Amino acid sequence: MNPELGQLALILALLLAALQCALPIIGAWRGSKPLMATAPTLAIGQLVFIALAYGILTWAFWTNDFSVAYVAQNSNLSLPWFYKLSAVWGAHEGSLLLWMLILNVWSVAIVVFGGKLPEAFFSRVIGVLGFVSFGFLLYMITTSNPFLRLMPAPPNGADLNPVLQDPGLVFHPPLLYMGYVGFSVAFAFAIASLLGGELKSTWVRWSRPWTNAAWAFLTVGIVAGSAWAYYELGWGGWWFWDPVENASFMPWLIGAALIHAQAITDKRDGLRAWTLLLSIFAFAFSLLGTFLVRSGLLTSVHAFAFAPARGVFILVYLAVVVGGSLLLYALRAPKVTGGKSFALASRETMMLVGNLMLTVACAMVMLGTLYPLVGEALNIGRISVGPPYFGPLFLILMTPLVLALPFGPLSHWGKADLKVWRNALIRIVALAVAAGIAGFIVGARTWYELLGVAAATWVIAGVALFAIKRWREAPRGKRYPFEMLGMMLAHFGVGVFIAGAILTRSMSVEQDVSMKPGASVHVGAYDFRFNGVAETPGPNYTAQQGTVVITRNGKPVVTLHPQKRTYVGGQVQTEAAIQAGVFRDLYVSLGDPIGPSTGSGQDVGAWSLRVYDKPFVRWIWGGGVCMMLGGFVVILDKRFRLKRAVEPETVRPTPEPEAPRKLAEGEA
Amino acid sequence: MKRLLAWLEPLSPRERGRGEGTDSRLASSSRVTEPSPAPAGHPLPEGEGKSRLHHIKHVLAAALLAFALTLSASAFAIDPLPFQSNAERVRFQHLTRELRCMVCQDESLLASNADFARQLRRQIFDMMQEGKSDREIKDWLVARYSTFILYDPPLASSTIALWFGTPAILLAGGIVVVILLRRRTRPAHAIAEEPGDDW
Amino acid sequence: MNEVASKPVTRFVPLIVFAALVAFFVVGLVWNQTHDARFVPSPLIDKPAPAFRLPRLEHPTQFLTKADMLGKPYLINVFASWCYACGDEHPTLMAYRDKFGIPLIGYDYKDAPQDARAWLQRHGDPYHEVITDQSGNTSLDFGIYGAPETYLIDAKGIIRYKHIGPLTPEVIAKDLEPKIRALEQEGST
Repeated sequence: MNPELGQLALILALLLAALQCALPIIGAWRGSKPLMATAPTLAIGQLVFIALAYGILTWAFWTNDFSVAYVAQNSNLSLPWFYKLSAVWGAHEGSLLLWMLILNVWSVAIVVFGGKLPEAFFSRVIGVLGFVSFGFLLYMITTSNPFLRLMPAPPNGADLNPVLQDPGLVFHPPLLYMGYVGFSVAFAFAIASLLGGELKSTWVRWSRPWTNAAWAFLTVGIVAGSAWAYYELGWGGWWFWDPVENASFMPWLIGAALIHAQAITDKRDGLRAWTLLLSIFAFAFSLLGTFLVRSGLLTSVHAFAFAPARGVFILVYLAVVVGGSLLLYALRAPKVTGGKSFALASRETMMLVGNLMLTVACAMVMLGTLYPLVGEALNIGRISVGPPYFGPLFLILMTPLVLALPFGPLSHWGKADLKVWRNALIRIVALAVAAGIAGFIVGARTWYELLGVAAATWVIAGVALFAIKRWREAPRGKRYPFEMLGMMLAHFGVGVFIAGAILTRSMSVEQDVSMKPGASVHVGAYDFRFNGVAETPGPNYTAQQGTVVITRNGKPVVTLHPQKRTYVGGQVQTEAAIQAGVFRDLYVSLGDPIGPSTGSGQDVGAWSLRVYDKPFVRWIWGGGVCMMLGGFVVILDKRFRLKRAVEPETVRPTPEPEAPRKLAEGEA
Repeated sequence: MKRLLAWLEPLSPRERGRGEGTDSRLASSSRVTEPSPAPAGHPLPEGEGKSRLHHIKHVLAAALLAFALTLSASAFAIDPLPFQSNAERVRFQHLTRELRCMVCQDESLLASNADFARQLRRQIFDMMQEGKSDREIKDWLVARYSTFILYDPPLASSTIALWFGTPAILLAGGIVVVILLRRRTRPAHAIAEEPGDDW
Repeated sequence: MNEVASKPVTRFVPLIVFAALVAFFVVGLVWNQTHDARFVPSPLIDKPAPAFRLPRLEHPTQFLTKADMLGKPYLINVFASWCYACGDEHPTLMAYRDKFGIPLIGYDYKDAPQDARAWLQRHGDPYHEVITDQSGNTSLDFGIYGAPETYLIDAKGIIRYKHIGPLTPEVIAKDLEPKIRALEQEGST
């Protein structure tokens, strides 16, 4: 397959994107049915060409076509086949192509599942997505073409970065992009509603499953990245408040806020403007992340590797898309805040508190991430902002949210039953205190650990009390609709995450040691015996493989084999060996040889090693996975099934599927 | 651009040191209380280390878009130091984790495998043995490398917006929420009970 | 469209904040193009240079100290035989050593003396004097964190200027040269 065909496919996709942006929107504006009818065809056509380009690039990797510069830079004859497939998104250009593919898959998903949307609204949504797609395609074609040729073709490629040669990294970028790009759907719905001047907020309900899906993907993408950093980077951390991590965390926080704001707008018709704004923000932060990472602006050490044009292009794009959206918002957002009244003690208030804290947390992360830039721009000195800034502030901001969290579900819309609150509060406090005492008995000694256990119990007890309340009060068969089940799962995940994050931090024991073969070190409750290092071949690397036998009170626990690999390209990569467990991980990674490998003397065969005892670290990702599942489970709810199309331009709420809910949904 | 890459941090003395009786290391061991030799050299061949490091970072930044490792994988530090006690080790880890490596600027002093970071870790270790407090150690570092080395920027005229920005935003957001609540809420008795499934 | 006029001003707040953000990014991009973020300004500028006592490369038993150098301005150029960029910088130093008009001291950083000697023999020696800091211990006091770096120290032993990275004719013409001339002015008045 000819790489130039891929190039051609991209250009054709660009043309289709331009049409996809223009025709349906003009059609919706003019009320022209034929123009609006082009939307599905154009979206599908664009996907076909993007998929073709993606396929051609993949084929170039598969067939080792090193005449394609991108392939030559990121692949190698001896690269295992599955990494050849994932190497497509192993660097800038190809990852953009993956981004485009995912964006178009989302667009076509709307075509498939959104067929019952009002025609004009649907056309505008597809048009907005066409605009998003157009910008990215133009960016790719002008600054980041993955099909550039390298003449003459080198006999072998430079190899995929070994850091990326890992199963965790195969899935991390696509999942993350699913999240980022997924927010473009909520964005498109919001913009379509502004363009169409929707007076009602029915669109919010249509948008909710998409937002939940995007957020769930983003969650699991971040989890995958965090887990991967933990075992691949060799030093056992799971979150570093690094600018690039922060770039993914900001849309996540906004996404979490948006999910709750959408629920209020959907069910109570309140917070319409805020929901619009958050829909724009969620996608804006996804774009901001792209900009920050790819412009080399933040982790400025990267800067040299990027053509300045790339940064400028994304900035202009960001300005146009987000600036345009915010202008549209300023001009067209609904003036009157509608919605039903509520009492101070109500679910709405609880969700407002949550929204406030999540949004402020996002602002805090943004401030800290961008502040070094402020220092540079204003010439007031170079400033570093790192974990000691983000960590404590995040903890402080999340405290009210965690405290309020159980009481959101335990309230009614409109007003809470204060008796329910009081009873729940007594029980939750009792359970949290009991958990703290239990933790103390088990051996937790620091305030940090005790409060962590109490906070996690607080959240989980809240979920449990809610589950019990529903079980008692709701009619059988209607106890736990999917939307509620998803909420419970996600909130439960928050509790698990809190326990994991806090306990890991304060209970981990980490030690760098230099050991001769046969030497032992005692870490936590375990003895680690080092049995030396031997060379082991791999498919495209050779590894120095250590053997470490772990025992507890003399009883064998596990034997671990940490590796230090040297890849064909010459890159060195450490593979930590981990005994994973529900309550603790035992973690060994191999450093450098210290003494000579043969001969005599006291250091013969000695290596430096890092050994870790990390309790509860799995709970961090376990909590994340629960949150992700929660996001997906919500989508299954009957509430979100489109029953039939509402006539264009006559906006009525979609008919309610169930009688009991009708009342809650009625006009204010 | 190549030229910039070539602005190397001294990865190589160690490389050479291996062949020549660990020259640089022996010299520094007069200050370092560690009895055993320092861990051997950086795994990367001379001259290539930094640029490869950058290459890795760049590839990753592009590929991950959002996650990251700024920590270049082959370059994390495993650096056994002879601590007297576990408490001392924890204090050292805590302190160096909050300091930024001047060379690999997206790594902490604790994590960085740069020769510079290694040397500073020894220095900090020595200062701890001399009974210096964390405050004194940080002041010593700041006097030489500026506050850039602190991940925890001290409150100064240039960081007022950083430290008070979040409370200010929280305050502003809180005021908006309070106004909203004042406008939109009604006394509980004025709100009708809604029959049916409240979900 | 008359509806537009009646929109509350608060609706424009997000747009205004965003516009400010974009303006910042523009400044940031420009800064990024004109600076190298890895070069962090030294806090030692206009502070006394640290006291040092380092062996001479050619006569390892003799030491050069800060006190020896008091009374006249001088340059310290940090280099090493293993340092790639120092090779790039080297021709510039050769060309300018006599044009500076003040002594140029080579500071051999974390380097084996025999390697440094071989390197200087191979490429030529631009320095009036070379001192060696094999352990790098003194380099900590100077805040050196790589090579090449260049310090301008005045007659009173105060650090007046520091350049991180290779010296180029442009840097010399724009920053270093005027600073040296200014010092000479100070000295003569």
